[in-house]
Amino acid sequence: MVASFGAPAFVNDLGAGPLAQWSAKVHGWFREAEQGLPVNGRLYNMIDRPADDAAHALIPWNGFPRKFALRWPTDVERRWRTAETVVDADMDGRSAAFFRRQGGGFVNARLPFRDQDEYCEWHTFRDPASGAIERIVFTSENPEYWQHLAETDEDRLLQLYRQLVSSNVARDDLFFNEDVFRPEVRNGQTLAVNQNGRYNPLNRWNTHAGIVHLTHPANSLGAEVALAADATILRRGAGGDLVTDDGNLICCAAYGGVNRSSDPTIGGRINELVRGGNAVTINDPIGLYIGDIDFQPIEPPGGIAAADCWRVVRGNAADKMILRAQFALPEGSGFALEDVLVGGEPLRFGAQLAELVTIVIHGRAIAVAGQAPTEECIRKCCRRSDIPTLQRIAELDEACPEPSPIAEAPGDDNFVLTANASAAATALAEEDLPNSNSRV
Amino acid sequence: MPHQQIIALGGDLAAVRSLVARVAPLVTYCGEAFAYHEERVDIAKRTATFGRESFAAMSAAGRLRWLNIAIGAKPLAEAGITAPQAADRSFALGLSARSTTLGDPRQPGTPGHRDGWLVGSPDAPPDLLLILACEHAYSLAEFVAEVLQLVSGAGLAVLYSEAGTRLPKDEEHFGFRDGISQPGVRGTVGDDPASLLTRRKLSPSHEDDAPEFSAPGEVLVWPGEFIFGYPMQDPHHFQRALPENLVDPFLVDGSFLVFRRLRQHVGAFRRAARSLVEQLTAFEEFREVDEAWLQARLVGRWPSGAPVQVFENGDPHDPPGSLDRFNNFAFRNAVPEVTTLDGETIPGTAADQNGLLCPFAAHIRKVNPRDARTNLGPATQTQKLRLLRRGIPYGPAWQSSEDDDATDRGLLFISYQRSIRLQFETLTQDWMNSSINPEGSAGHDVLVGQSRRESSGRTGVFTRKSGGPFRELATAEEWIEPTGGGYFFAPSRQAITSFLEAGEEGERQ
Repeated sequence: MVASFGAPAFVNDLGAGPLAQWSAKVHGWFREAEQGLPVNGRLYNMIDRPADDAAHALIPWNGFPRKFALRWPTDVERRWRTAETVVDADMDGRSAAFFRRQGGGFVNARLPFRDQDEYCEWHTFRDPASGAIERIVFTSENPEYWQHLAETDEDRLLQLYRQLVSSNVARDDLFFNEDVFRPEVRNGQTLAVNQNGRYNPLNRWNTHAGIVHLTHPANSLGAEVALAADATILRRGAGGDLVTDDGNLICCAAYGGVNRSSDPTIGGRINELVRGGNAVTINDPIGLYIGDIDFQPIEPPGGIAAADCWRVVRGNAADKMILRAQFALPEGSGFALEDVLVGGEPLRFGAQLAELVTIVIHGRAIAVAGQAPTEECIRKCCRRSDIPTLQRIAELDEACPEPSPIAEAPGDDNFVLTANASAAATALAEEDLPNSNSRV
Repeated sequence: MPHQQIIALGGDLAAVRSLVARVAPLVTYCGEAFAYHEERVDIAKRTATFGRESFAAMSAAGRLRWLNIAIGAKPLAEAGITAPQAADRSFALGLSARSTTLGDPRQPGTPGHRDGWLVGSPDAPPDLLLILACEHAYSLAEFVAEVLQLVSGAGLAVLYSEAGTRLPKDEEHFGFRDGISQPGVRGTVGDDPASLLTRRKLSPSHEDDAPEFSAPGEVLVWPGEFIFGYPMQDPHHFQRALPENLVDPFLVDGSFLVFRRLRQHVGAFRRAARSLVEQLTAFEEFREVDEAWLQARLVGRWPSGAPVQVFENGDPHDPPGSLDRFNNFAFRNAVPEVTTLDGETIPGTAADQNGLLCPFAAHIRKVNPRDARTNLGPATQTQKLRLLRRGIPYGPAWQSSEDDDATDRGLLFISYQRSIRLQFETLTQDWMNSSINPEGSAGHDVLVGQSRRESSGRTGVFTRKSGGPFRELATAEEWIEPTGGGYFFAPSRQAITSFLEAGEEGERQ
């Protein structure tokens, strides 16, 4: 049992008051998620339920987006380049849920973000003139925490941005100075709330010009809690048997992205713990964390150790709770980052390192008696006809046409994320509302 | 084949092409090998003779000579052939460039560092790999002598030539039976639908959303995972095929080949096992375990091949029935009792989700998590990391009187796969060498893996109870030393012809 939830990795950004508010916020997400479950729901939180004998369950997944690895299994270069391009709509056509007024309605504001949807994002800082890599920064920091920081301590927010990204960050850069609307659920109603004057999580220092926290619309802590809650419900397939396979579960329950490494893995593990007679929660401090990076494929020049290039900036490595880490050569080494070999070839993209990063959440499980809530499947999966290596979640009565063989690379050389996705963006953005399907 | 010779060759394109032309008529193709295999299995079943010994029963069939050929990236590029390099970036880079990715030492001068390799060092990458195989050592020696004459005639340099011999009971040098679990490859040989590449010991599955097995524990996998030009395994479905990409004709019916010469320091392994047992028995709940227990947990099997998950308390030595008794288990889900088409009943096995029986770090669990989700996605994705392993031990068997490791012995590891990068390398780098992956915090594959953090060595986690306590053991002792190898492309008959023609065009230019 804990009296309050800590800040992610117990970082020391917040004063006592704001920290208590953060705890209340996280507590509220859990309570809301718990209340949304059927009777005897198997999600609990560490404030309300004492359980000192809970078992720890570390759930790992790879930081590099699986969807790109599935889409271009052999074209390594293309997936590296694509994955670190800042976009205004992701590979699936989703844009961030920010809108501008147009005519009598709203259109998507097409704000920038990184199409890196495994709770791991990175930014390759380059010299503007030469394009040479200066450093590569990884984060798993959730956007809600930074929103909270902005709401409770603007000075600290600015100080951290300047410290983490650039001394050139100005206060106005971090806040909307125009009418931009965001859907917010209040008292059961979805309202378009004007963000003018409020923190802009997709500001340029957190997208094109740098990185502070996660930006992909699906990469939120609230989504993680919602996914965890949804995954506690056991599911029966058409034949009446419990669905136990992770891939089938996520299709059946539609609690996340089927083409990711993270969501099927998190949901599957949680569901397995519930099937085993447990109630589950996420360990305090609640967060997504960089668990590890594999140094072995990294060969810096001049006898420099790879570990000496990796600096944990926020969080800590010993407990597998890294929030932010930076890869750069030691000061005064006399070498360029392009002299570093990764897997036998020069470092050119942060994505090469992202493939070596493991992200984790720390789960907890306690044995409980009784029958866990069990429901029927609500969705199924179909192959995507345009990219047969990817799936999509479909309605149960929807036909799944079988795609024909396609070439991996030829024919879609002109694939451009934003152009391809533009038609669908506005409509699909509605799915970014903060509901339990927000990871989809 | 119980006796094999691995020969690595180097030379310019003309010499490589010249030898390929000379040995092309000797290459053994699938149909021939398949027919031999079918006959051997029939005889083996009739006479109840399995493993290495089953080849002796075939000796009356004749003086068998098998040869396989695989080409390195350089001669292909020189011949203007780029499809294999485009299909696999790691193949294009080569094993020595990818060596540290696999966990090999980074410091020159360290045992195992690529600069000191017997074959495949950065300054002498092999251009061609020949694998010769015979039923008897004496016939292999004759075959090797004849082929080396062809090599000499072609003007190629022999960079490496070494014999491999299967050990009694198909053990590897640490004393554990090897090769029990292999994927069951779907498909037929030729057009006859009854001519299944993998014999079925079980009735077809009626469950659509679960793995289908050709034999107990032997999952059926689509052939495109190993050979180009065939349907692949769907990453989202156990049984469904993924439509084949439109691949370059040069790749069709070909496969990537990984060769790693891995020296095994048996004395070091046994000494380390003694030390690890001392660490473990300091904990009350492990007070009674001994060296054999610990070694079996590092492997996941007892020396006989019996899985520790099924035979928790000791090695049964011989399987109580067929070898299928040693393979009917999964880690995440209970496996039901099955009756084979031969009428043998194989008992079911309880799940081991928390690694209480077979630790997460056990070698067989690290390299083949079976039905487990991993850091790479759901269990359907796990089926895409299988290899066709065709390795063979080299060097004399270890004698219990030996206390040092002066004798060079080990494994000539060979695997075939569609993608070196996505299969062999991923399971080595991302699973075996990770203390977290594939199933959660568990330690490294202490048996074969390498530590990412050179200072702390490899760790393995043991627990008796779900929820712990978790006992972490560590060792910095190295008992697997990479001593060479290479990445190659094993071409089809058609691709061999294309390579020769492309070479001729190149020469004319």
